[in-house]
Amino acid sequence: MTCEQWNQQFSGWLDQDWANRIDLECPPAIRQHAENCPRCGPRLQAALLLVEGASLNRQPPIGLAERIAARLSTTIPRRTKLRPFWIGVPAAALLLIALGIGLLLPRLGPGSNETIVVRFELQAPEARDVAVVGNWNRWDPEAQKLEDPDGDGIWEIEIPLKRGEEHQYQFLIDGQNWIPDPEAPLKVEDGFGGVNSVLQI
Amino acid sequence: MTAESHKNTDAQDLWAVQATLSGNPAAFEEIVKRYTPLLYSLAYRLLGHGEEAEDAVQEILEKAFRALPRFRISQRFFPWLYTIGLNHLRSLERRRKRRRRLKIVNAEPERVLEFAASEQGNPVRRSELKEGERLAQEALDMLRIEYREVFVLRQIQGLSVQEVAEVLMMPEGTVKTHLHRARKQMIDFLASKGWP
Repeated sequence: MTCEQWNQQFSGWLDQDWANRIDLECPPAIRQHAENCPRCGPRLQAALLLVEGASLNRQPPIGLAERIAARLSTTIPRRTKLRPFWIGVPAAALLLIALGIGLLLPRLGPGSNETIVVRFELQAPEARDVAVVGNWNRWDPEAQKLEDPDGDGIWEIEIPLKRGEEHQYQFLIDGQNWIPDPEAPLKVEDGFGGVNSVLQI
Repeated sequence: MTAESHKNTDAQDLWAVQATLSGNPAAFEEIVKRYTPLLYSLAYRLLGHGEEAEDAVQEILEKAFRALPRFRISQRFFPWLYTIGLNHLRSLERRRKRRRRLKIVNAEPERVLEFAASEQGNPVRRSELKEGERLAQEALDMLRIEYREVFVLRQIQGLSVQEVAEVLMMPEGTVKTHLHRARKQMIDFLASKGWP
């Protein structure tokens, strides 16, 4: 068998349905020629590896996991607290800013000395379900749902949040559309191609 | 650990995540040890380079550690980690110019050194540098990144079509289409591969 003839048979064998796992016991003629041909042998080897798949998993160097764990324990820096621009702005100016739709409205309310009750609002008249999802509720989309009690399309909720901490969050609309707070001035990338709104109180 | 056996570790993953978030960073070591082999293999097959794969794995796990507070307890950890990993590997791909490391040229020593470096500390496998594996990697390298990812996840790492769709955030039908095209292109590549 010439290499050209082998190539034709080889292609025909590979064209079988991989989903059903082509017969790795390829025709004897293909295997016999490949075993004695430096040109065709590696191609058969490559095909068998690709079809079988799992044997192409590469093992890491010995000790890699331990080295990574050791480096992680020493290189993760402390998180820098971000301070939004409104810290230090007079209270009246804060109130004016807070009148914007969708902006959180920090105000003192019932709560311990360790928390501030924060009001989240979002104008979403077409939504059927709105949740605020953030690091304080472990990014659980079911934890805190906003309500629109008067049906005006403005969803709202009041949540006690801890003072002195950075709170990141997004709104989740209808269980599938993630958006940052449109009026929150501070945002950070969430690592998933989106942005989180940031609040520090 | 294979992609198949990871399916039995969901509860262990959640425990490690919760323990880490509860103030026990050492619990994350369990995640590191459990997923380093899978991430290394993924990075190696997508980047085609052992040394870069090592760095990529560390960077991926570091990103996952930082993002842990954003992990939603209703999710499975494995696909979440893989999404972070693939996003990172894609950014590496975009930042550097891709070299065809396994191109059949006369630079044999360089290729051997690249493989040898990646196998450092693993003497059993150091000697198993087969032409067939190199050619298989070359076939992977010539695929579009979208097809390569699907092929590596499904065919090599053994994720189900559903899991691949979840990780890559694409419909299952697209996963199957990409897989079919990847296979077809690799068949054509192997069949047409010219040898001196």
